[in-house]
Amino acid sequence: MSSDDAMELWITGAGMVTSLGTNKDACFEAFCAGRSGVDALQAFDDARFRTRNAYEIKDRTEGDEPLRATRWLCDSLNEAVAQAGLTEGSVQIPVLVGTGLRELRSVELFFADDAQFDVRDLHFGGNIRERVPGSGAVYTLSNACAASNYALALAEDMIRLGQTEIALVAGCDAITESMYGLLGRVSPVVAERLQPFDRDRKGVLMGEGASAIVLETAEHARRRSAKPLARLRSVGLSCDAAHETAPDCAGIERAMQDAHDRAALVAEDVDVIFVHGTGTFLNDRTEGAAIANVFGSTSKRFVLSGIKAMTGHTSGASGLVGVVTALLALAHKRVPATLGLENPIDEIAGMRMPTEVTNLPHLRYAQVNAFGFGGVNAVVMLEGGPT
Amino acid sequence: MTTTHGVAITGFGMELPGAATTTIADLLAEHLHAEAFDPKIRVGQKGVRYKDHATLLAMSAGQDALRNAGLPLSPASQLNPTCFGVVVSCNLGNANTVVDVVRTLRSQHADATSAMDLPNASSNVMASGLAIRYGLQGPNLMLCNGATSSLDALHLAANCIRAGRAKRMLVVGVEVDNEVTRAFSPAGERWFNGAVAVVIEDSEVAKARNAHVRGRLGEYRFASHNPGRAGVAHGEAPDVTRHVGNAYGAEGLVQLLASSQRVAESARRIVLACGHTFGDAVVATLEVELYA
Repeated sequence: MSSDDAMELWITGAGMVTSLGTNKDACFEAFCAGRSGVDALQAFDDARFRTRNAYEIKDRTEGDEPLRATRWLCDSLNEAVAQAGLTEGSVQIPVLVGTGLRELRSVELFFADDAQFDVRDLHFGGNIRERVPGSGAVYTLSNACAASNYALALAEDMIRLGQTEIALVAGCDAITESMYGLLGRVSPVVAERLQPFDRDRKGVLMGEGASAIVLETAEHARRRSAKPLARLRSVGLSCDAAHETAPDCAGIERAMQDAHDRAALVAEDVDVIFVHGTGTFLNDRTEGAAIANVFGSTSKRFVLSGIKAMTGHTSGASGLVGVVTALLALAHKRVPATLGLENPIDEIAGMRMPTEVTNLPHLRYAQVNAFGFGGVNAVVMLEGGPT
Repeated sequence: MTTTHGVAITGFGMELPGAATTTIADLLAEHLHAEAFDPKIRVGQKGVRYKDHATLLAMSAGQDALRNAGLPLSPASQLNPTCFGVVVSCNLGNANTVVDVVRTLRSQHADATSAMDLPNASSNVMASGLAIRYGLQGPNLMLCNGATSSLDALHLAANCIRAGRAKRMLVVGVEVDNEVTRAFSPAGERWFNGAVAVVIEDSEVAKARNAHVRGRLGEYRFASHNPGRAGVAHGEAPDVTRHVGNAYGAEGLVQLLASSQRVAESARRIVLACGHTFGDAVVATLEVELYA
């Protein structure tokens, strides 16, 4: 470990939009109340699909419309920027955006429904610079369902390398017809809701959302009298290099271990793990086994929380939806339950995955998992303020 | 955990089907493939079925660069696999898969779609495809960032090395020209159809394995609301668009490859510049030093 690791990184603002709310506090309240965003498909012709439900954001006025993901992305970035108290004076802040599906929904509407579409809107740079004050270079990273946690790693590196003192990090995804259809196509049974880590889970269902944070050095934040919501301790990365769609236990363990090592923490320190938990047979089993392998020797009673039970799988946004949820959990000392969990999978036997919202007065360290197609893994370690 | 070592370029590769008819081909002579692209000949029989065109082009260019860098191709014998990562830059690569699937859904039903299209519907299929094929278990990034994407990719790959996340990165730029991607082209013109690749390494690591160092990466800059591409110190980076079509997410890497073929006896500094495509008010530049 070099002296760089002493550099303290603060998260000073956050924003989130999901099927359960248009801002982070509304979302967190809904998660804690155990509400679900699942409903019948809003805009797709449901006769053409095997599954019929999704966790959509209900903001369409008539039929379907392009650039919805871009809208939520800019909204969540502006929520984060406002909370951090960034003024127009702070200009040219780099923005790292993680997304699984970019604006591919708009591409579908362009080809199938003659909607207007400009190829420059496939990535998010132009629209962010236009709508988010102070934003500069924008990087659209399309790293499947680990995208926004990967984006956070790249922002962490830029700051630790001294290339910038502050960065915005975000994730967003709108459901594409193609991905929704294909995921249903490969699912052996028809899922009506997403049940992370439950023995009777039926598979994944897509959700929509966006989330954003402001990340800066403690020194930069102090200079402008900004307060930390939490500290970013590390992001661990890996790639399975094993299979295009199936997860690999060893690759996931490597990302978790990398996150702990970079944070100079051990498994014993972790109080809560926000699991990736997509509700597919293989993903949950593999993630559960990886957690058991990495955390097996700890005697600590950490808790697991699977928020996709409430939001559905928000794809590339899901990592940072987890991070923003973790920030709020650290602030409120309160962890949302995993809605609908009845029979936890064998892999997490002996671990605590609460079915009621849990108050944890000593909650300090949170781990947020995100794993994606292609075996891309990114694990975030956060530290809350002193109790 | 960060390193102050420089970032060395140790391998170049490309897949430019049919490039022999262009002027830039002279600059790229070492790597030419005048014939049409046949993945079975270029990357082998195994595991190429069901892969989309962009992924196959990226694999071929990646293989070329790994060979050029003196690195193994087989995952089982890959050098420091957990410290070897991938960044691919591409904007349009999987659009045809997405559009094909939607057309099937609209005319038929999800049951008529192919499960084999599932990985191709995820935009990062090119980056993960390279990792699987060559056993690269380090950070794996797929950048889809418009006209500056290729130089952003080189910069972020170099950052992975500087931040101690990887010792070595394979960076690939790829775009495809087909019926679907051409519909995005504002004036209906053809896109660049091909892939270019470089291997970059922590310079100490390159030295330790006696790698042939072909260049070094220098400073990266990004500017928005800037007066235009002409306002950037353009160095001698060739105007590749004139020769190979709009290379979009691969452009800076095509510039780098073309420049690498023109280095005479001594070292040469160039500034790669990308941006200002379709009136985009952004420009990225990257300084590179190239050796003979």
